[in-house]
Amino acid sequence: MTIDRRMFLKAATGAAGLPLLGSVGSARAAVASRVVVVGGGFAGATAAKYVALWGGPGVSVTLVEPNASHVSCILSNLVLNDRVKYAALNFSHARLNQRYGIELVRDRAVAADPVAGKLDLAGGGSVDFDRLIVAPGIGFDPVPGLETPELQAMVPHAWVAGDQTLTLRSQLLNMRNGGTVIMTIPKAPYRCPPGPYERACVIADYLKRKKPKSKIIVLDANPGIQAEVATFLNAFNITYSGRLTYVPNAEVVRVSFEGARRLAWVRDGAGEVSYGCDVLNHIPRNTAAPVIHQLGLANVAGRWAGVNPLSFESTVASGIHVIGDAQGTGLPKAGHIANSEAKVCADAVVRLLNGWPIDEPARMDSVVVNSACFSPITYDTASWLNAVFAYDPATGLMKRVEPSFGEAGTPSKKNFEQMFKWANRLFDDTFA
Amino acid sequence: MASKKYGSIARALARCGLGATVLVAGAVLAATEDDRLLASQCLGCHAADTTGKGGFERLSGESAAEIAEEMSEMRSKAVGGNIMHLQARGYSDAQIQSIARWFALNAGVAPTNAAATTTVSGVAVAGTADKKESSDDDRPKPSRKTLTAKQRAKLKLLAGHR
Repeated sequence: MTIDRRMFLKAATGAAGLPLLGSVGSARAAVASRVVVVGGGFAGATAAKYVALWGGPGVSVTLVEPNASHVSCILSNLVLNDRVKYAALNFSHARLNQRYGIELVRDRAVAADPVAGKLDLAGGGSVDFDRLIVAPGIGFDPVPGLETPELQAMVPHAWVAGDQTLTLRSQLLNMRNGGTVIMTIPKAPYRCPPGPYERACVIADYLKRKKPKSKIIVLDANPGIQAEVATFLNAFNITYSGRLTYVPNAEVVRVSFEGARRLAWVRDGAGEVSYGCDVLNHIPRNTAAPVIHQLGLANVAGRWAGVNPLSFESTVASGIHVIGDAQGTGLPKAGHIANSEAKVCADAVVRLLNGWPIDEPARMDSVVVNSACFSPITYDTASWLNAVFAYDPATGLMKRVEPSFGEAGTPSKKNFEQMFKWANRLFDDTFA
Repeated sequence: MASKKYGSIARALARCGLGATVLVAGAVLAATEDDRLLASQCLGCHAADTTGKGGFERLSGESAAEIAEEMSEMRSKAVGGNIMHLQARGYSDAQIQSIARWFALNAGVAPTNAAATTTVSGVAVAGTADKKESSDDDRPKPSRKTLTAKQRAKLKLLAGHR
């Protein structure tokens, strides 16, 4: 790929059209710099947009993503109880091109050479980069008993929004009244700490209203609820009492079938016990998406990409940055904070391309990310969770600012309304 | 440290170009990249200019002092009922000043291209429960006409965070 004049002008026009975001320090790099972003989710789309805005006409941005649009995980649990239409969660990348001049390459990354600055694509081509930002999201550990794509489709995780969201929706819809649903929660860290508990509530709400004789069993590989403990304990024990059974320390080790029934097997001492159900929503243990492993970047517990929080640059490959759920700083993995990390990364990338430092005291004090999210608890109430994380120069790590950490006092209808304000703004900041 | 800081400010000014600068009491103040980075973290929940859509109240048309005062006030309020009261506690006084400076200098700029008026279509709730007003907000809403500009701005800032 080469930077041609057309593309340069497109990038310039895109940035000039937005004086607000681009007004401070539009970079004046001596030569055009090339930034390539892999992955068009909350992390990747935000990074592409903000590098284009802040980098100015001296920086070209290319987004490598096999899909023309992104299906948001945020709000996708609400497809399961008919509170949000699936189609509304589909966000085109076209605006990133139209408004910011970001070049869209519909392909999949397969290999990267940080020294040569070359990214190889599944389609056989390649793109050149000065800095590469990888934001591919999560992958899953294989599940014994679910080796083939056909079997995997019968037991959807729906933990990456898309076809599996619709499959799970349709399985719930077609289940008999009186049927049992099992959902499983993987060992932490996984994508979206409150997400599985939120989903359990949403499915319980659906069963309560539409299949009142049905029940849901939640098998949690963790010793307890991982987020918003007070809120979800109350929901499980009171709101959905008699309908929802929560089992901690229950890691599913394999899945089998008995006619139409699905069996989730959990370790029990030296043996195993099975839980049978009509619909099984098994979320396998999470790891960084395959491309992180292919690029050799998964140096944290063999699962996640270690990065310097000041830049999100890989600790094993200079010039390659990893943001979003695939990175291994210990920050929670979720869409809102992925958008937030992307801004720190974009800022660092622009500074590095210009040869400016990223570790001046004032800059280090500006490396702050936030995690705010709303979780539906019933048909029309929601809770929220908040945390701010700041860079700690003493340890070189991101540290939670404790006074900022907390959950909603009680789920409310007001929170349910605010959940849509929150999500719609995040969608706009990321994709528009 | 002092010279490094001076260099940083000088570099920021040099980079500003046609960007935001304001002359106050003979000194040129500018929002730096550091301010911009911190302020960008607000944009996940708040639109800042007429190009952004959705979210809680728009952060535009306020002075730095007003924004800083409001954020500082939020830090002292009870938690549990309002996510912003917790969010505000995540930032130091210096960081709040930095954020306030950026919004005061940069927010409220009108869009200059047609594309800026189209944004993503908002996701609406399906079903019927959303049609009735929420019952937990019974606070009286004063008429805008009787308020000063500053009061209106303040009301606007608080509106999304009850």
